[in-house]
Amino acid sequence: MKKLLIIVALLVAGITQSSAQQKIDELLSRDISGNRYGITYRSAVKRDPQTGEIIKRVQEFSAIDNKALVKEFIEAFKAERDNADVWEYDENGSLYTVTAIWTKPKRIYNLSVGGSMITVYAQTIYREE
Amino acid sequence: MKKILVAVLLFTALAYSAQSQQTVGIVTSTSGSVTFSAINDIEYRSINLSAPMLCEIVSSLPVDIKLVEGDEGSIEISYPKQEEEWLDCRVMDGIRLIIAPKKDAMPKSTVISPKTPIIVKLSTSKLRSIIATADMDLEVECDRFHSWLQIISNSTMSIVAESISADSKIEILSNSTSTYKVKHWNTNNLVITNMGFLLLDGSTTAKSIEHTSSGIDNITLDVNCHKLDLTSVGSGTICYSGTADDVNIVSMGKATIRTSELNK
Repeated sequence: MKKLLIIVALLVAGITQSSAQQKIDELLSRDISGNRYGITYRSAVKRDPQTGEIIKRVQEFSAIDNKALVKEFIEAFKAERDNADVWEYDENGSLYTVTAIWTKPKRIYNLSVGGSMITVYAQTIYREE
Repeated sequence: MKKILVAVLLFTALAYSAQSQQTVGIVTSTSGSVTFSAINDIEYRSINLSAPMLCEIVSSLPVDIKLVEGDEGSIEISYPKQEEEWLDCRVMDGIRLIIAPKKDAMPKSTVISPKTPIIVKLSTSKLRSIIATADMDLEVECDRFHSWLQIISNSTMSIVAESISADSKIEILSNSTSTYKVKHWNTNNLVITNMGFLLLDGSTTAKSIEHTSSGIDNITLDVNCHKLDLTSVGSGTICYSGTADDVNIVSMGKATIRTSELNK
């Protein structure tokens, strides 16, 4: 019985962790509906030259004067707190930053909110080179 | 008596119907190198030109252009005969097909319109520039272009093609209403600039895509590229799918930009 409970707990933790990561990924891959103050999105992938398989992905998203987006991202990052292997938070005046790191697979997500600007950085390493 | 009257009436109706069909369709007769035909009761005249080095089309009148197989540089231009006096349809400098009114000769009213356009059939493998400042319908039956193709639309323009291929670069500039139903844009570099309305739906092999828009986009493009740069200050919907190793998007307008189908 104990073993079963542990297995179930691990499963739930695993699902919760992947769901939390997915929330940030979902926000990053959502349709960009710009406002006149600007949204920028950058994405770069590195591929295995032999197979074309993606081995590393980097995404950077920034927006100006979009309070709804700021709130969504902050909530998504806060939801990672108990699931990430590393979760660091800093609030200094009007600058708010969060860094969440997972080791398996290696993911680094960084959120910076300063004034009316939000920047999200996400790096995923699918396979070490 | 009644039966005779009915028969006469029926015969008259049939005869009139046959005659009407003839004038609605295209009836062609040839005199020398000039062909006469009729479209929608308007008598058309056709002339044949030859320009083996033809590489540009500039049109400031409503025109339907068809790119077909044939002898290099062969051009057939059909226009309403009654408008012949002020039309300037010729090849300039051996390289540029002009479809325009003669200088200061454009009449206040003309039958030339998108419904009764000038019709051009041409065969060339060197076309590098298509410039339309009036309505243009372009149908590509034979996909042979210069390695660097520029399509500039300052009026309503539609392109229908299975593919458009230009090895080096294809540049699309829309300043008005452009509807491009081209399944495949085969090139190394695709540059899209929209300041009007642009509808584009297809796929491209371009390794580099540069898309700038301050107009209204309705774009769905499947890509397989190294670099995708998109700057939008306009509106509409832009969807990119497929693979793009390096993506840069700047959005300062109201466009909905979808890249969730990229690099899946």
